[in-house]
Amino acid sequence: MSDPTSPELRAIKNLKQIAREEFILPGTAICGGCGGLAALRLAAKVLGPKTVFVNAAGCFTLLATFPYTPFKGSWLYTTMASAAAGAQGVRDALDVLIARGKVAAADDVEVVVVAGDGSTYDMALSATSGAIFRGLDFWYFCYDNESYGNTGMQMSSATPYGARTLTTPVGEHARAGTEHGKKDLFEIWRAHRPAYLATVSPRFPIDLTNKFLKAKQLRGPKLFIAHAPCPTGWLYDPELTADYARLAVETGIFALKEAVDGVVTHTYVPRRHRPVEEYLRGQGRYRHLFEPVRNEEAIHKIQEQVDRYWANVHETTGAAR
Amino acid sequence: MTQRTLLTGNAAAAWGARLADVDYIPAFPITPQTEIIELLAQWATDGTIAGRFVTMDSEHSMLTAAGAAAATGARVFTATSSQGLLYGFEVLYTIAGWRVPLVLVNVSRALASPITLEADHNDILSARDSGFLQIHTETCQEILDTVLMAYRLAEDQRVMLPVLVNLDGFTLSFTREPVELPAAAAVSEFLPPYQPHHAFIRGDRPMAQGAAVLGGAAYSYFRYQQHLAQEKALAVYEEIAAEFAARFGRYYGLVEPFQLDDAEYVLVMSNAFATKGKAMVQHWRARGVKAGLLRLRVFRPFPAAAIAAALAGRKAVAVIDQNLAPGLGGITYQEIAAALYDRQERPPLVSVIGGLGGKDISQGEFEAVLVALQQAAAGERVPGPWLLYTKPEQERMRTLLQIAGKEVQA
Amino acid sequence: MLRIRFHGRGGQGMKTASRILGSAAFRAGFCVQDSPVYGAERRGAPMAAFTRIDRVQIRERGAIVRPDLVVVADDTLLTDPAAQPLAGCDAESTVLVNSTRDEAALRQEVPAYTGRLLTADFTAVALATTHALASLSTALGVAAACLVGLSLADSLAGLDDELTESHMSMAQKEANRQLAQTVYAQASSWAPVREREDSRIAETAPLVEVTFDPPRLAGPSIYAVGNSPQRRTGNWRQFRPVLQVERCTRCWICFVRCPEAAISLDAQEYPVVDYDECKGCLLCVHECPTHAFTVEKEVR
Repeated sequence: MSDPTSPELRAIKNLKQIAREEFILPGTAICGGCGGLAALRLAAKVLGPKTVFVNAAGCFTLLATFPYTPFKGSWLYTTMASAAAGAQGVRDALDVLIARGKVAAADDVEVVVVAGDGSTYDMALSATSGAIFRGLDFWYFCYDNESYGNTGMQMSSATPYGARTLTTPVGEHARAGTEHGKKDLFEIWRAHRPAYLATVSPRFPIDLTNKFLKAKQLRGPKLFIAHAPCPTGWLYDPELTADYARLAVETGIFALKEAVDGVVTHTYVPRRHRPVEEYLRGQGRYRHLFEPVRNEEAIHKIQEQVDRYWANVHETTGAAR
Repeated sequence: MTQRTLLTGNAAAAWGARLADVDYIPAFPITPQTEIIELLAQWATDGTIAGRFVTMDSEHSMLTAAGAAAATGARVFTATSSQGLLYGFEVLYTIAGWRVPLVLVNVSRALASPITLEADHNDILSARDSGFLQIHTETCQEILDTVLMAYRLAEDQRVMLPVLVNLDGFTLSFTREPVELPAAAAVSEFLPPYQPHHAFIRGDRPMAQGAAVLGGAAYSYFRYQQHLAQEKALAVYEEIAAEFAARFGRYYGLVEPFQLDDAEYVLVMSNAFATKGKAMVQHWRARGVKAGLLRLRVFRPFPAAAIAAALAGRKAVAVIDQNLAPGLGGITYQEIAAALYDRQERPPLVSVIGGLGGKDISQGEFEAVLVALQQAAAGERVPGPWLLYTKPEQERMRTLLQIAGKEVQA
Repeated sequence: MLRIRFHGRGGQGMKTASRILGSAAFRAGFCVQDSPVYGAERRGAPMAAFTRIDRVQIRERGAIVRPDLVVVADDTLLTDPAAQPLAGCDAESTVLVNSTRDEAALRQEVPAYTGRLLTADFTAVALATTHALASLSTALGVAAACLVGLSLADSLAGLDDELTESHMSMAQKEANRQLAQTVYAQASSWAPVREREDSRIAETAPLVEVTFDPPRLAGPSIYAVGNSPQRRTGNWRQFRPVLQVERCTRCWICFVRCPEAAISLDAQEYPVVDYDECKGCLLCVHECPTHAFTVEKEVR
């Protein structure tokens, strides 16, 4: 927990207040145009150099590929299911070593889990639940590319309805590709009442930066779900990553929000949402919804889900539509 | 000051952690290990120990937290058993690959299915290729002493690998025996605080740990280094054992020879049931049979030379495995046979399976093993693996099958 | 046996090219093996794929060490230390490079290479026919099929096998078939690759004993933090963003949105692209509100 009165923790208002120093350097094995890395890079600018990233198996495991690491801080790869438990071990060890005078308090680090949605939404759910339950003072950064991306784009429980993946192909028995709806991790995590919980997008860097700045003043679990457009898996040109990140927010598919002690605030509510079709169209994973014949039912269903979500938001917050 | 008291095997393990002044104990309960973590929880709560105790959400998480804390630079203790060890299994390989020290006590319990509670060694032996060192214990005193020695071994720069210390569920875990508690001051001289030189997480010395490697050449190097460190650990262990004996008066070798000097017929056993084997050896000796016993103690690294030296030239050797690899037989039998393969005077080996799921090995069964040893010595082939199973046990089993509504031939 | 090695970057379709060749040879009745190798690197990173063709069962596995034919997806790979497309090539090898440059220009880059070097601008042909960069796999797969002496019919059959499994539109599939015919006709002017008579095993390196190292060395840990720029992922790039300073308003958008931290700001807050590292995703080009970046094809 940092001193909230410190000037560098005040909310920023424009891009030029984003730190120029880099804490994750280039030269990694990650795909060009990776939306998850774009978000993590911005987060790292707030977290600073005294940080350990505790990783679960996924695309970002390749960030530190022997003998190279892009981090100025530390890194620990654990397993796919237990990065949050790894964070627990590191945090507890540092607390004890500092208390026993074996490590100087000045050499403490921020402990940050970095995991993809495959790990986070599926097999790591219980380990993370445990860490939140224990009130662990740690960060969790989930780069959500809505699939098992590292293994080549198979369905995870973060894959949205209508997206085609290699394990939810389109066929006679599944016209929409993925037939399940995306698991609502935000609400699952929120039920634990963590100190801080937010969604972030690499295309909304001020919002992202301010959320990390806010969280830095809090002790306890600080959890982030980063929308991570994935050119390789979602099948679009890498230069369009920021476009899809923006469209996800502007169509209302990805809501920018936070929850402090469980109380939700939407941090950006577009005055009018664009039709979801603008986000879907152009991504290869949704192509089957538009050609050879338009799957009106599926597109409508996606739009309806989004509309229902926001109707509920407006109802509960009393905000004007 | 040294103190003598009655302790269960579990309490002895907890005392080992306490005297080792561990920094961190992530835990998750499983029968028959619970008493270990209950004691440590109490001591951490009332300030008896300085280390932090945390209940995790699974053994997988527990082992991850344990390894991560060791990678941060803390001295870590934890314990599990059976299904728990298997639930956290991948993490064993992970921690060994990180090359960080910790001590993990396993309280042996047979593996499901069928789920059961009492001891056999399929759980601990499943971890034999993980990179962890393994030491198997026979008495409550040995448990405590071994935990202390294990930290020295794990933290030695020539080794720097985690250690599993095994004790049998029920037969040791819940059994009280007199145990001498070494004085804390003497222990801290024997076991000074852990000083990490290669693996730490702290703001002033950033490093990446557990990085992915690409390509078999890099992987081969790192994996083979674990083997080389284990090989080194044989000599390091002997140093530590000698120093421990000098300080505390108790010597534990890589293997324990029992009345082996002139023994013609030898039993090879491990863990708590070795006590029963020793009693039989004495019984046979009184009858004029030159019997002896070799107890396996350090199982990883595998002390092949010590075992071969102890067994070469005997009339016959029975390896009693309290485990079973279906489709193969006894696990330690295979390894002992391999250790003897290039010896000129290799004795006939009898492969015996006994004590699965904690089943007793009665005197009558031991007597049958002796008969088999004498037959083997006379050149008769004794087919194995041979499961020790008595007629009353079989009759009782048939009754149970009948009660369960199964068709049993009269 | 004929051993064909394809070099490309993840996303360029060289795995598909190796499969088109494999399928074509299979259709022609040969014993075939094809396989890609990736590092963990992704889209844009150098990768290789292998196709083996023989009349009898193939008793080789893994990477091709001494290729008869090497197909290189773009000339920036020729001298790439990570890709090393000419490794194991000799006077009997054929190297086919997709390039806008001629043989003489390419030979200057690889003076040590003494074998046959063929070059053509397959990207241009592919774009002219299909308007899709992805069809480079069709062009190079079919060119290789022609070079190893497979018929046009078998080559098209092999292509069809691959297209069946793709999610391409019908129109695109047809365009790819047209492209195949064009490329095949073009490649027919080259003499086919001949099977080597000599099949000796590649020279073996001496064996060493791996000995104990202390734990600081013996684990996969890294003390030289922040050393990833040494990898120089700039070699992934096929197109480079070039700043036209006069159009730049110093708004920071490219700097903030670059996923890679490959754009920094100079003292006057103008963006500076680190070409040693920039992977060429071109997100900066697309995002720039004043269109201050232009795109140039890489020539190394």
